[in-house]
Amino acid sequence: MHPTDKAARVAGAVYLSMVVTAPFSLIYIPSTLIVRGNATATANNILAHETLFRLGIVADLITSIIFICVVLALYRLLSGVNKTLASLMVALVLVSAAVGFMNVLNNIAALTLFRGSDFLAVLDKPQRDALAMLFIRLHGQGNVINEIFWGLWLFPFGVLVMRSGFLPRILGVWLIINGFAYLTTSLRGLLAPQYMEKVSNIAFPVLFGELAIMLWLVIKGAKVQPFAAVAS
Amino acid sequence: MSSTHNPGRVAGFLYLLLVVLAPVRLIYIPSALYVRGNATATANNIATHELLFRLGMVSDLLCGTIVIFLTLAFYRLFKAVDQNLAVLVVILGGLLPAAIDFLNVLNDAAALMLVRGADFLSVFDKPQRDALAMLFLRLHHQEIVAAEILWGLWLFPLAILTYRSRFLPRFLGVWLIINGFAYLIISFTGLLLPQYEDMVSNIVFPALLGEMAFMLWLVIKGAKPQPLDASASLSAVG
Repeated sequence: MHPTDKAARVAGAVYLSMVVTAPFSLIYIPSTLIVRGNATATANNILAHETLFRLGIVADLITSIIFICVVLALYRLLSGVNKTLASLMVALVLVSAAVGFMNVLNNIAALTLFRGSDFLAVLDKPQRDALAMLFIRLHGQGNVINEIFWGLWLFPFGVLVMRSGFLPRILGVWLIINGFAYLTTSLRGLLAPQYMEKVSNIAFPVLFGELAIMLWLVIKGAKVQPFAAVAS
Repeated sequence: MSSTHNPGRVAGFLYLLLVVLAPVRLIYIPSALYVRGNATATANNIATHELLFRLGMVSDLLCGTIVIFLTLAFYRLFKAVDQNLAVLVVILGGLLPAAIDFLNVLNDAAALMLVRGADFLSVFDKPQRDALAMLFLRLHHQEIVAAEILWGLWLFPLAILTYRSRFLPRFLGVWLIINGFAYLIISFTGLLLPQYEDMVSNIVFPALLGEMAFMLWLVIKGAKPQPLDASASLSAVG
């Protein structure tokens, strides 16, 4: 197997593992445990399924770590195309991973408040639950903010795929559109949150750009042209 | 001379964008919406000018993004001078401040949620919600005080690179070093002696114009890394 092809398949496999962890904490946990606008019901759910909630916290952290591994694998694959763009891609992901890690603290704060340790006894249970809900919401806001990076890093990634010569250009274009979708969703969430759901639904199909490139990397790898092999 | 062939000017324009955007959240929002020590008045201001407050959050995020591109532009400009120092510029001035900037927006988001008082927050009286909102606004400020350490530190490698570069005037490098110390002084005053924070900020203000001078120089004059052999032959002639 050509080294570039191998690098492509490794990057794809690491990338694909995010498909398991990211939706678990981003979609599954909120949809099963969080009752929008109802702090008491959310508190009861989370206390009844504390381990599940904690698994969500762990999945969040693992996703950030995988994200770093993905971008380093992609750097190895694509730095030969353009080193500046590849470095930019790494820089954007590193910042995003830091934001992701710190954002987990919001969920931990929520859990601490829901459990209501002794030192929190000065607050009534409804007040504790409301504060915990505030932190749950902040965790959601943290993801909205981080979506800016989830979008931005796809621009250098998309351009590199387009220019690579060993990956289909259409996937690069799709990644760039995917990046714009994240940016739009994030800015809508910040400036006009009332349209949040609607825009997310519209933007949803283009978010498959990432899934497409993952699958391509794993299944097809990199088609290295003979001249590229000679050049390397 | 187009900016694409002049990496200094690219950095200069990004810097200019930062200098225009950063004061929106740093200076304008607090002066327009905050009422010192009065949580209720502050909360009411934010509630009536919610979009302005949200724009402040967006400007914070934009600044966090710009510093990444800015420091990478500096990396391109200075990597031939000293690659290790140029990497330090990216880490101290770009990546870490960007992460802090982004997270700090969450304090604003918390304050805004409390000011809007969603249903689930009705267990708190309005004065309690306002006080909590004020706490998060204060935390936002404290996070800036902490970040000022990085705002100062990254200027040291940047200043040394400027000083050694031979394609930028040395006095700018010296001014940047002073500027770096000024940020450190402001930050440590805010942490250790918060009662003097405003006074010290006013005193060291001229030092903070170092970045402004540097930025304007890059925008107007630009900067081009000279090939090493050219400078060597120049010194041989001289």
